[in-house]
Amino acid sequence: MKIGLSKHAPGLCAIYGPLLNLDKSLDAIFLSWAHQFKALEYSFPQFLAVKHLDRLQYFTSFPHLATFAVTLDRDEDELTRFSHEHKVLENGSLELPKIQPSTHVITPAACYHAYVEFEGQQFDQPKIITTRGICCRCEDHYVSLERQWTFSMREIICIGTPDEVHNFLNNAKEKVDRFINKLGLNVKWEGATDPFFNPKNNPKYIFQKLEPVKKELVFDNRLAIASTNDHINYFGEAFNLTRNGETLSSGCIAFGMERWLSAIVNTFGEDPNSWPSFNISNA
Amino acid sequence: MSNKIRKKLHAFIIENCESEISSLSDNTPIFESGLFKSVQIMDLILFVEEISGKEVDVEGLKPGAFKDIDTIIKNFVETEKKN
Repeated sequence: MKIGLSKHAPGLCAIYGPLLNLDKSLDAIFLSWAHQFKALEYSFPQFLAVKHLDRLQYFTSFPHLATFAVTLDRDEDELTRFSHEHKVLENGSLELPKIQPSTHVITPAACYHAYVEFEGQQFDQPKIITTRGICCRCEDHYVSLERQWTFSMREIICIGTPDEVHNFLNNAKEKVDRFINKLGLNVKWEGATDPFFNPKNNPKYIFQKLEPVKKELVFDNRLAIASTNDHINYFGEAFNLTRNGETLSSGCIAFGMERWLSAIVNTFGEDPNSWPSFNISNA
Repeated sequence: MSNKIRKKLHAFIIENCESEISSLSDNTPIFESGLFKSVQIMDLILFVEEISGKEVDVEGLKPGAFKDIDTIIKNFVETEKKN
């Protein structure tokens, strides 16, 4: 029986049948944890404004990962010429005529939208939301299910005081640990840093090495399938998230959906009948 | 030697800190207490390199290595004595 994976191009896959069912079952577990946190569920757009990402110095820290949403210039003659003369080359590329300056990137991480959504708001108590999005990161090489250009990310995000965020992250991590023990995956939590461009010259990278703000759940010593991230007051300051005049902290737990699928296939084999069954009640 | 450097570190932190300092001891957490913002880590590293005369190996940094003045002295100034 096929697992339900089609490779369309490097970094671009379709899943169906058994893998898609597995994806849905896993996501139902993660979503149930979000509901236990009383998280409000959001569906955000696929694009994120460059003006918002720039506030986070995203294009300084991660220019190599960004995929921009571009559109052609609206000039009628140019559009007419392009519609008649465009040609996809043998290497699969298409030369574009004049393009309009880009105002948006394709979302590189699901949680960014949350801070944009709540900009300037005050919260009397912890604000917890969840969202699942297709994220887009340009990489040097791609591996199906493990390192994709577009991939799915489920996140649960908490905005609150440092203590509230720490409690949230610890509780979320405990839920993952309990589930992992039942599932029997070979994983361990490790301190980690984000994939910064020119990291040695980026204070954020150095700070992440000095302060254990990011932990990854690493499968078989090679593949991060989830992460907890303590942003401290980074997003709170950038988007003016406050309580009683004090800037709030934030944190999130993120699940790389396709990577979970890969971890399960690598652990239990390519026969879907051998995959573990689980549901919300036993997670 | 390390006492002089300790004093220079005190002065540097007071001069560059982001908030008002009521007291600064050798064990006051520099980043956790909000004295410095995370983006100032580079300035602190460059200053430590300048006063210690040694390059800081960024890739080899361990969590907490710049926690407070005592820790900085132990990690980046007194290391030669151990060698």
